[in-house]
Amino acid sequence: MRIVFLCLILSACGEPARDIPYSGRRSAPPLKEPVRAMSASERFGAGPVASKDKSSDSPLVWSVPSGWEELEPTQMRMVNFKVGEEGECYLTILGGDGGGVLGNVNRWREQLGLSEIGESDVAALSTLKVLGRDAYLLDLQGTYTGMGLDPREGWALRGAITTSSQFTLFVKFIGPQALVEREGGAFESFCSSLAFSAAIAASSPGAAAHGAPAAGPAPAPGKGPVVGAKPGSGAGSAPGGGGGFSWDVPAGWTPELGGGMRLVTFRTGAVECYVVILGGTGGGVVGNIQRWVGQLGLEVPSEAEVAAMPLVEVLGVQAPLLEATGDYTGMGDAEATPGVMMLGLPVLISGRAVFLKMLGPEKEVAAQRDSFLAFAASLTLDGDVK
Amino acid sequence: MKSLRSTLWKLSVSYGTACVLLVFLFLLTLFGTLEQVEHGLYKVQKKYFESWFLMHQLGPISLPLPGGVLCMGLLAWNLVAGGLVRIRKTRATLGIIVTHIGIIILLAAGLVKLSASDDGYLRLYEGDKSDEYVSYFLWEVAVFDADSTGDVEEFIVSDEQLRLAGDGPVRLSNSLLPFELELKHFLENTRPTKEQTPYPVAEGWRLKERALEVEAEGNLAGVYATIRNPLSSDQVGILWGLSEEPWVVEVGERRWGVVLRHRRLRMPFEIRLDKFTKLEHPGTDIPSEFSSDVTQLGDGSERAILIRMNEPLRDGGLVLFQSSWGPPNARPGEPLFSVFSVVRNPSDHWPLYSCIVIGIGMLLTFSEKLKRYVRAQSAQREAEVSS
Repeated sequence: MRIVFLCLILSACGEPARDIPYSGRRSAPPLKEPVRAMSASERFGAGPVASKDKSSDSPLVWSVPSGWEELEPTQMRMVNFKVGEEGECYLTILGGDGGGVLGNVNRWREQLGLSEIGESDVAALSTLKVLGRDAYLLDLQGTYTGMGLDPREGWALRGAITTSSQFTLFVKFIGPQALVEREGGAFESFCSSLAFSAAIAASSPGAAAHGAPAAGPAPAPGKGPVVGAKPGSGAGSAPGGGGGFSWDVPAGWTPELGGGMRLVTFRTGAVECYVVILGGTGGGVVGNIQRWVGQLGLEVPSEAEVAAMPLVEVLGVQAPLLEATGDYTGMGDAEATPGVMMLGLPVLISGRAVFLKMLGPEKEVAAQRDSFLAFAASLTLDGDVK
Repeated sequence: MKSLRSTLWKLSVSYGTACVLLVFLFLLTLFGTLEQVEHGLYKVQKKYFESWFLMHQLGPISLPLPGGVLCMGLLAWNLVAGGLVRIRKTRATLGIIVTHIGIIILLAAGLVKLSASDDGYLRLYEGDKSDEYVSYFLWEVAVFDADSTGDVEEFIVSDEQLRLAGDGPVRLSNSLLPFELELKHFLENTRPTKEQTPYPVAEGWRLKERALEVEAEGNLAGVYATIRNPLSSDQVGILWGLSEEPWVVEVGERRWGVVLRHRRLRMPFEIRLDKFTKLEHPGTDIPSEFSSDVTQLGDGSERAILIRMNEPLRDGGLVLFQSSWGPPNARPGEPLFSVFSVVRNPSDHWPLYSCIVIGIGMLLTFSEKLKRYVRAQSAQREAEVSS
């Protein structure tokens, strides 16, 4: 009996540790720099680091929450996860306002069988920083009726929506309520971990000063993105590149901070030219041209009219060239600016949408038209034969 | 008793025993090769060739078999006792004795490799140099002063010690360290997770055990570490093999790094990669040939060497083979690194010596046979002539 009692006490105390000496000591080379204390999340790769090698092709980097299975991206899902047995979380980026925050909030609410809310309710939603911007956070419960799915009772949706002048980003996490609640922290960690890839963040001078994340895949040594003309090159074009693309910079164009989803921005006089890269179709060729024309206050062209536009070869793809002048109202602009000419080239390549745009006073844009087309023709994906 | 000893002696040195052992070795090779498809080379080597006994699953039947170590040990004994001690020492058996010596050298080479060799890899970008290579399979925990400025003195917990922490906690201390390190819950293949698992939480994370990988180098070990110091409360963290960053703890006014990593092995010289060359098949990115121009540095001397397929660097008991390169997703123009397989095998050349000795032995044996045949033929012809 005593022995049994003793055994019970010993087992309650846990297994005693075995004392052993270190197997040896060794002199290692000096540390290159003092070791930085890191959290467990950072050490395990769940901190602000690139998720996978493929992120080098993406304008974003992110961390994969533990236990989430990363799936291949699809046309609409730039980042795609399977969470548990039934849950899924994905990130979508659309050009422009993507239907608006209110519209999308109500669309998601409708999917959960919930009633619509108004602007003031949206404004009262809690927010989270995503890509340095405030993103509205949604936490919805109900009976989920997604596309082609039978209604699923007891489901929940967590979502984040953020907008910029160029794009709208959606992160949607849907699944059984218990799963969504359990993984809610991981969802927010994922949203917070999103960052522009180093290649894009660094593609313009001074980008780091604008909050480009220090983490993420550092450009390989000797492969740092180069933007702008080579020193001393006074005329003609000069090679440049970044984010996996290369181009020739027309004479007189000055690179500026890209920012947001812009791969690069150039300015010449009052004219601005920039390249935007989005995952998937980014809203499609026709949709973007229609949106751009709408920004000029003109009648939106039909699909057939877009198809009839002159074609320009960019990145090996025939892209319709938009040339239009009107009263331009950009996202967030209170008033339209008259007499703005726009040149636009939407290009869909494998898994990505590339948009080239030039905006400015009509005369100046018209004078830069050839440079714009030369710039577009010079654009290549690194590794491709030009 | 004497008769038993005599029977055992006769049995151990008999031709029959040698034949049986060779049959077992054949079976081990056959079953091991087949099982390698599902369980990988490392695991199969351990089970079939570096063991005394094993159970092979032959369909529904569990078949007990002697392991490679036992078979080769008995075969070596059989050869020594039967082929060297017991054999009649005459001119006619000289070749057989020499051949047996050659086979014994071959078996001894295997024994030395089993007990005293290690292997790993060395990865260098152009311009990098190193005198350490990294084990494919073995792990170690290193404890070091995280604020060191000069050479860093590391306290090492070996792979063998680390595995003890899989059975129960182990506690390590050293008079030069102001704390005790306790390791427990060592798992050979694991991932940190925030899910519920049978293991405790540390810094918001737990370890989750995973099935062992078919290719053993794919396993990622993990272990719980506790820093104990009488002046402060315990600090508990998780060490994980894929994390190259150490767990940094403050003890008193100093910071210490604790890291779990693949075992580092020192070479008696340094290798600097001067140039890595990769040639591709025309129109593809499939390499047709890759090679590395390296400089071997040691004792104030420098030696330029080209390492390429089938032309390794051999020195100091080490062999450096050109094995691969990376990163595999590098874009054109991006720097590449070269990977060398490093094998430390004191008996590296013994199989060659063995082959030479066996060759001499067989030459002697067949020469003797030929001589005897020629003599017999001559004698037969003389007898026919005289009759």
